[in-house]
Amino acid sequence: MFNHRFDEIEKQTKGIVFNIEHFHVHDGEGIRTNVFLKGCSLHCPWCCNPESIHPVPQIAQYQKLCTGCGKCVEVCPEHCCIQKEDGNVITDFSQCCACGKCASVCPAGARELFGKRMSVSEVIAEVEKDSVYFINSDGGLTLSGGEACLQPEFARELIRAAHRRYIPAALETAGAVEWERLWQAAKEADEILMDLKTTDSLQFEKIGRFSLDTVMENMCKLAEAGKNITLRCPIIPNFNDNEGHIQKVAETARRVGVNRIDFLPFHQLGKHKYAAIGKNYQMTDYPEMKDTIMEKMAECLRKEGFHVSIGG
Amino acid sequence: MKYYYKEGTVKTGNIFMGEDVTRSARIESMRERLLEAVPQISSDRAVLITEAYKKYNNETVYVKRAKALAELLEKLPVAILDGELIVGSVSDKLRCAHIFPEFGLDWLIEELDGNPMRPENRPGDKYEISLKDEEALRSIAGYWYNNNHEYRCKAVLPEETHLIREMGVTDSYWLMIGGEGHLTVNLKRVVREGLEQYIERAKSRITELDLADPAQAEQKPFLESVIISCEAVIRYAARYAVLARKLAAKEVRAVRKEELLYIADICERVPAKPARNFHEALQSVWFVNLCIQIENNGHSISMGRLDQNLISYYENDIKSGELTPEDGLELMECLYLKLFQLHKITSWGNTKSFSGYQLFQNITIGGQDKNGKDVANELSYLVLGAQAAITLHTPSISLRYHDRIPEKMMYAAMDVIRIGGGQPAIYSDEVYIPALVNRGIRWEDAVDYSVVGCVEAIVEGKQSGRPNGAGFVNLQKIMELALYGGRDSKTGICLHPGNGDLNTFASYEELYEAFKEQIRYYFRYQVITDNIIDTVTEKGIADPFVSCLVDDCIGRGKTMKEGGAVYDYCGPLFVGAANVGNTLAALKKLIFDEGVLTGEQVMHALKTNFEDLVTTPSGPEIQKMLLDAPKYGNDDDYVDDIMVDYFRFICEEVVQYKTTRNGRGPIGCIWQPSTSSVSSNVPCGECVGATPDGRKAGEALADTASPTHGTDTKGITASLKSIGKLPTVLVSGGQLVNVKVMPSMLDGMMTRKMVQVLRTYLGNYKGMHVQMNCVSADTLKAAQERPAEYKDLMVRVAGYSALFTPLDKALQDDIIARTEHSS
Repeated sequence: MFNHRFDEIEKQTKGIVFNIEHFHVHDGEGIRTNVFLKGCSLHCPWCCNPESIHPVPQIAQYQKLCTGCGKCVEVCPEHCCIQKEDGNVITDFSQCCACGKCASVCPAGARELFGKRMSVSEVIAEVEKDSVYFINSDGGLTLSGGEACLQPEFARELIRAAHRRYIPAALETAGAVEWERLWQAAKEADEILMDLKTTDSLQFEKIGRFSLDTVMENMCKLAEAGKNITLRCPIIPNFNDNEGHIQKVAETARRVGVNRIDFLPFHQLGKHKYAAIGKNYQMTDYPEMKDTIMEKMAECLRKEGFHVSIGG
Repeated sequence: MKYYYKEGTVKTGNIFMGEDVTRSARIESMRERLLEAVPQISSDRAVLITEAYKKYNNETVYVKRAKALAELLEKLPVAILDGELIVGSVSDKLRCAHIFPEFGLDWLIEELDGNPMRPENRPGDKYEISLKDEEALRSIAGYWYNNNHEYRCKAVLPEETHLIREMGVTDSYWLMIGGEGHLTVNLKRVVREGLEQYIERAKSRITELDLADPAQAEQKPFLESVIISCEAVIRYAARYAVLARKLAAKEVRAVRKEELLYIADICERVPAKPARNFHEALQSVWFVNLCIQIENNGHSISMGRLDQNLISYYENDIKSGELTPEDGLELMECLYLKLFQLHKITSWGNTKSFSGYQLFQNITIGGQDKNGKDVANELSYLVLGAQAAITLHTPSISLRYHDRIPEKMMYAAMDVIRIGGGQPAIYSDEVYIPALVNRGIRWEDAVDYSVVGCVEAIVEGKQSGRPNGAGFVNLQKIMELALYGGRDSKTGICLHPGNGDLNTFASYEELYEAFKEQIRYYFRYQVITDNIIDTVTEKGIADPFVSCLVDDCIGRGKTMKEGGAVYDYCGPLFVGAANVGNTLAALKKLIFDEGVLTGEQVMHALKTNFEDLVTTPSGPEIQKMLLDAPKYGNDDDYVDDIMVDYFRFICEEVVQYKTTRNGRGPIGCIWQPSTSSVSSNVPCGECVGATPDGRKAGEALADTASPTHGTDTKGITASLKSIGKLPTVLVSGGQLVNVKVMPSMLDGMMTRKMVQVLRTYLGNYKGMHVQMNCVSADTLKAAQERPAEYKDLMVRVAGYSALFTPLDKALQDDIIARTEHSS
């Protein structure tokens, strides 16, 4: 009856979540709780959440913390925790089934399971805890990723569940996904945070299988549908930290009628996670973006009438 | 057991939590049947109790009352109406008011004689009476003449009490014709333990008594009367079981037959034994309340925290599959219809203060537990859902707000408020709990409060009746007396001469002090009066059944009036609070601050009801100046500061007094303030002449703690902010605030804004209570015709809100047209 009509669908609809973080203040209005959905259609080398890319759960191992106790070796069903002669344990990620047993027994916290299959009701229970903060700040849920639109039904049901609890919901997307999936996720969102990684088609082809045109087309369609969009532009050294890109961002914004632009300066905070999941990090030698440069870029667009913030 | 039939449902046109609200065929036909019925007066109870009083005249008052109740429950007609799942009616008449001649019958005989009018000719709250019933009542009138509670009270009240009532300063007369009420008995315990346990406890208490100790020996008759009355209630339920079986034997519809047999099983079980499921629990609650209603003439006998007390039964049934949520909803609706059937008639004079066939039977939902955790549950939503479907004025639904309340609950409440009728009213734990703790109630009991009557918070099952529920105190009348040097301009009575009057006050301080002095005098008489009434009640109307259901009456061997309850409070109901603040502010500004008027000029204008056109300025001009002075309800500190200061004074003045139970067991036993004026602001206004807030003689006073009608012109935010400035935490007897909003204020996105307004008022500004009246197109049309009366009526125009009356006529018409689509 009235209070429980949606219990079943909220219990049945599941997706892979790799993190739920409270008190995000740059990802939409007010105080937000961010739900990160796992799996991404892009593989940007600067990504600070490399664990978000692979669409299923995966194990991370922080070599620095490993004490070589061997507990993980005992429990690993696939024998991919391998103790070497010097006592150190290494992981054969290719054989790992991400059961998470090693992480649960590791006394040193050297192993972590990224990604968990969760139901809408489980996720929303965690989000709802902050509802009074949302009320007092006009904040709410922000779906992020990875690419949230790769789990469009899960995303849509999360947004509906939030709305049933009178919690506003924002969706963050890079738009590099088929329109149907994007729209399924975005249709009922109150706010869209739209990534614009680059304005150069060739550059874009290097980070994903979709073309920049698809992204632009999707963005236009969202704008035509009357969605409240904020552009989110990572600024990456030697990639798009140039005047030309900034101007193209402004052009795009004007074309789709967006006034709010967030610049997200490159940083190195995700670096340690690459090795942990057995990936190569290619950006070690890149400097973090300087505040003064970011400020100059922002000022440039503010002069043209845009509402620009740095870091969201 | 699946037995509820669900043939065809009727859409009500209302929406609750995103769904169409429907009524089952059963509920629809039962509801229609009740709405068509005209309330009737029955002589059954009156005749039976007359016989019982004659028969048991030599018993102690406890045993006499208990045996009288037993006779009533044995002989009053019992009826099970078609479709009913919860059974038990005071009469075989659909909407029936019994008569309680032991409290006084003269008023009714007078009304039957046409003085001031017969009950069927009243302008409101009409009752029909058959010739047979009328003759029966007339035939017993002689026995009760000068032999009733009202008479005994009046005989010992001081002369001043009568004069004070004649002037219209305070009115406690209705207390003399009402018994124990204004409480919630320990329903949770009755349902869980069953009355047999109560009988056992009373029996074992009797065996423990040392009869050589006079103090203990005194307890014996009360404890015996508890046994007699509880046994009578159990037998009463058994009569329904017998009737149900009789009806089942004749019933041709197989489903109804099965229902009746199940009802019979339930009535054989409860309230004697512990309830085993939700249906039994509801039936147990109903039988107990019904018998309290038959035992005595009190009102505001409430149901308490129904969602908390019965949730375990509901959840178990749902889990075991014995009950579906739809069945649970229908059972709840059946209970509401039982509550709607109850009526009690009082004299026309008293009825004016309690208009609307209202018995103030409250159901409290939501709130928090002793660890501060929100406790809204399935049943909380079920209670609201049932209200959305039944939409009658009874029961009163009270939602406990706190800052951590889920938005879902707020929106569910808004769905019901949108339907109209101001249900549910919303109460803030953020103020009530500290207010109760401040009066000595333990934290774990304070967080367990429920609402009785209008806005009185009570620790259910542990607190004696009338947490306020004492007489009305007409604050503006007292103000008027201060202005006239203590003399009543209408009657010429002068009980407490003041030092000067409005002609002679040299400063605002003198005026303010004169008012305070009159307050001190009349409050004291209010206490004297009400305490005398309580003492007479204690001696003459001991009601064992209602008492034994309140902890710790059985343990102490005392009725509530003797100090049996764990907690005890009493207090006056303030009427016209805003008028006094506005009066003080207008006089301070115009006479003492600005000197644009003199005291003599205002005095003359008041005496001539602002109608003297010869003076300069003229009467109407003076009235205009007074009306233009700052008014409470506009977030104007000039008047709000005055309001807050005097309000704090009267609150502190009240709490120095003690109730008759002081020192006899209960915690508290103090008088506490309340602003629950019910509908008395209208009759209270009738006896006050023109006053310096710009009000003409005889006009209604401001209701409750709300601003004077039509004077809060800056919108709901300013109005609620002014109210929020009051030292409400001192108003432990309950603060009441009425807000009128257009239905469109609760439409779509506006709902969110209203929820934000309410959270700000109840949370940030520590408002205690609010009830929102959603008004209709009819009201808007009336507002077009008589704009002066609707100055504070607010509408949603397009993307903005506006006060209605200043709008262009064409736009007004447009809004009226729009509203009619939705109403």
